[in-house]
Amino acid sequence: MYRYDEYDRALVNERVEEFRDQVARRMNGELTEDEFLPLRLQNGLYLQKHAYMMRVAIPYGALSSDQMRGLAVIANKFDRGYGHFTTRQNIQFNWIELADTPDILAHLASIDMHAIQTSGNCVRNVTTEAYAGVAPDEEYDPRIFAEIIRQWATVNPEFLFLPRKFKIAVSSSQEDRAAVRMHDIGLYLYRDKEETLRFQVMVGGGLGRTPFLNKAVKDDLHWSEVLSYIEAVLRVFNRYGRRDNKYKARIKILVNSLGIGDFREEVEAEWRQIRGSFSTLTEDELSRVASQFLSPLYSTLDDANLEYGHHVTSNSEFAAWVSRSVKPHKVKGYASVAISTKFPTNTPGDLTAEQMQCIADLADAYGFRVIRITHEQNLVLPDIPKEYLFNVWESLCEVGLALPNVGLVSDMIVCPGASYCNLATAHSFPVAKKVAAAYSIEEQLEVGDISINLSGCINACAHHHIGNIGILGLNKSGEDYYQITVGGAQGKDSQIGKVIGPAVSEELLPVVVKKITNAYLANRNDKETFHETFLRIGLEPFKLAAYESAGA
Amino acid sequence: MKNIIRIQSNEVAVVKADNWIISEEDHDALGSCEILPMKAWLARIKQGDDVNPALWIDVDDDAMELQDVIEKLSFICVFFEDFKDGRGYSTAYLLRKRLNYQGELRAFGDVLRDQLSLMRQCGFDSFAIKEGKDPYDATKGIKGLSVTYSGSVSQPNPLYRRVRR
Repeated sequence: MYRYDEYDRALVNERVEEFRDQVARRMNGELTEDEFLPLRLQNGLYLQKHAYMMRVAIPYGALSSDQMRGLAVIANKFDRGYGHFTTRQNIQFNWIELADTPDILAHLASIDMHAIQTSGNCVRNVTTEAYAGVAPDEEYDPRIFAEIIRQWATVNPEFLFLPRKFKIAVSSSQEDRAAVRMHDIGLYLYRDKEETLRFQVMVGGGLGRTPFLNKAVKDDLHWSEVLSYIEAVLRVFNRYGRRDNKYKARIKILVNSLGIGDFREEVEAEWRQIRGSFSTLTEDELSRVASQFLSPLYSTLDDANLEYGHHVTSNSEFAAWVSRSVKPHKVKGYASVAISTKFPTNTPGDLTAEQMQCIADLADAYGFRVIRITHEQNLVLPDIPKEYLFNVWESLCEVGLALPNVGLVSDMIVCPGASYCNLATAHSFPVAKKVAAAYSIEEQLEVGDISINLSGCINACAHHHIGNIGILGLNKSGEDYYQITVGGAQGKDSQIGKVIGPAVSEELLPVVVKKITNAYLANRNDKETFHETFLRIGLEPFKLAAYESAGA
Repeated sequence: MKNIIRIQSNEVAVVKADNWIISEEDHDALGSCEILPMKAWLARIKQGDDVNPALWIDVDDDAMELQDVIEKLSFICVFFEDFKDGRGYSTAYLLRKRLNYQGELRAFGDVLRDQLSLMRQCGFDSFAIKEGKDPYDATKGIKGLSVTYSGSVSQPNPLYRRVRR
């Protein structure tokens, strides 16, 4: 994984001292709150309902065990003993004192981490998929370009006061596991017939009030030109993006008001002026960064492990967990392990310091000291020899993290909602918990793989538009209500879900969601997924089922 | 204009005030130190008037309209109505890199200490600090971080072309 050199370290350390000075000036009144606001946002600091929240970047979701331990220290020392992993591969600490923030950032710097540009109207944490580097269906490790783009975007002076936030995701696998299509810039990296790395560049995705999937702007961008192309897109956005209305300021609105053809022309015209010059990537730089992402020294193992096979056949609880959590690995004898942070024993995305320690210890003992964060708010130990899967499971059981529900109903993606967030219009966690509780594990297995995403407001942090079942919290005269969409999907066949009808009360929500999954069970052919059934039968049967004698 | 910081050959100087005056709009009997809005200045040039080699660019002006007349200018001011509106950074970039403008480039309006290093990197070499703020204090914001990854106007090469990492 990427290790800081003297330049990375100097930048992060100087940034900490710069912010220490800014915090001091805010506290003595030299800086007004209006002047301080974008400074603190670009250092990851939000003001929430009850306290400051700090969002720490986990670039492309990769953490070392030492970094995970460092996060546990912050959770214990500066917060209430836990942190929340987000859908954009960040971690948030919810109960922070302003005066402590420079020390938190200094602690992060000491473990090669930062909170730079995790908020504000700038290029945010560049994300990719949690299985990068180990997935069998990968063409090239997307973390290498994610890191190159991260560096280019970090404190890039021209693009820190954009019309609105700007999110970039990279994927290089058959199956897109990074929700690339809902990003401001989505990059699919592939090899052409001559084995040259190229990008398909898609611009203008985003959820929120007006959800859009991004649209292809360029299909065959040479890898060395990715930075100049992103620069061209950002300059067009910075100059022409709307600034009069926060809800119309994302690049998706510009792309759709100009039309993709005119937008492409603007970008290409700008790009022709700058391509081939300073920001062309060099082979040297690519191989320097790539050398940081070399595979660990895997042992030569047999594909099948007898002891592991024995545990699977003799221990049904272990077998149930294996069937959901153990993922294929490109190297024989190894597997990736997905760790669910979800209901009933956990709160989606939340981990206690003790749980963080446990995962760090497991990564040290069995998994080359590496950990990944998924955009589904789960964690992954990417490189576990099959012979140790049982040990990993036993340890996870001890800290309540061995849930056999990855990809099932109760593996919901949920934002913090009105319990923490200023923007939220409704509660998320307690309601999602009730939805999950409406299903036994047998019922969940019967439904099988499904994504249910619940956001506490229109800003859609839980990506409800691309959930197979999306749930959006609203406020109707002081009461929490939930609007349901069906038919959303992520990946290469991404689709925005459709609203089924009037929002339902908190009380009815679990019942209605269950009616929807029952409608799927009643209609599915053979091994059809929820989304395949939806594509075949359309919205109507789900709508009818949802409101049938629900009193909604 | 007041509260001026100028950078000349890497030296930073604070000037309490200079003689330049921003004019909101065109009018008769222009003074020798008046700075017209870009559109008004362009209209005058079109008429063949002899005007000051100075103008100011509003937040939604397109600096590329200066393409054919850039050599007539030696002083350009870029207005920041709100420091959170970053269009002025791209304006500065275009003036310096696309139009190869070599004269003085000044940011004015909501211009604050904590953005000066970013403005400097985008090609500004002079700043009229927001009224009520101390320009001497603001000079602390010029240097910025010693490490920059991307290229910029002031340092065209990105870090990976500058150093052996």
